[in-house]
Amino acid sequence: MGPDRTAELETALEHCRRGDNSAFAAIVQAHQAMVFSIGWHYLQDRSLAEDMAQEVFLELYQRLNQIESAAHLTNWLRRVTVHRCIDQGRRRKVRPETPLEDQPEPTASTHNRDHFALGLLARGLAKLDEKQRMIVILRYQEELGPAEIAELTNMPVNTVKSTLHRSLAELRKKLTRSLGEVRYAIF
Amino acid sequence: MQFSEDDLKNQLQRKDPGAAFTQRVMARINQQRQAPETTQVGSRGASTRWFDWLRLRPAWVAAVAAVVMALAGLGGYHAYQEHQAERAKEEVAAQQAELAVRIATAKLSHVFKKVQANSHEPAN
Repeated sequence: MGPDRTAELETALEHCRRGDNSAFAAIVQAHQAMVFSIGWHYLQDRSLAEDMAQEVFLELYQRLNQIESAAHLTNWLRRVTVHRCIDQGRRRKVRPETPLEDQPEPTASTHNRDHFALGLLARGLAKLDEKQRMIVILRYQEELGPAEIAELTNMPVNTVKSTLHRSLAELRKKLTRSLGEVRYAIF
Repeated sequence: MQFSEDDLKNQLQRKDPGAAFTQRVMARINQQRQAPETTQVGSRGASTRWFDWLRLRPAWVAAVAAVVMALAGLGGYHAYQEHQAERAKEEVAAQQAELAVRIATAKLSHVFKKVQANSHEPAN
């Protein structure tokens, strides 16, 4: 987040505390992709992720007075989202398949990549267990370091590092197995 | 199969739920803000709500009216019976008084005749 953006959010927070609802809408708009995407990647269900994200922002609205700065706001939103996702995941059995329409659009950097392999990667991520999936999401979607992930998930840093290492190894194994099955089916 | 960190980042890139999402959140916030006001208005109009409840349940109204009328009828009948019993007692009392007066008159008349007879006899 650039300094301009941070300053904008600080101003919006200040306006929010004075009861300006349009400033709150700006805060929602600035963070909705983060909150929604953590939920969507973790829960593997778009409508559940959207409901969860709405609940997170409603809670934020009620606790605006506790938010001290833009950085605190982002951290607070991430923490609440992670814990709501974990609670939601405990309440339901996560659907293992990711619906095809929920797959992200290919970006410029993946223009020439093997889209089929990326599809397998999405399926592999969906099949990771919940703890592993949350750590992978925080590492690669939010680009957080092990210490930050440990703080958000209330886990020791070493556990985060080993879980991340194990998750990537498992993901590679799953993809190799899936690719092998496809090759076997074709040839 | 190998994949890079960039592959994972691309796969897990943030996706915006759209402008409609912001509108839905703001609508829910407005709804929550209005809810306590509605509750206060509701508590002020408790009697109005009671009449609304009755208006929506005509069978209940008819049953309550029938019970009230039956109770009033029973009360009236009981009062009528008590009034009749009082009147009967009064009549008996009047008859007894009349009899007592007749007996007293007859006794007095008898005593009066005796006194008259004694006064006409010559004193020796």
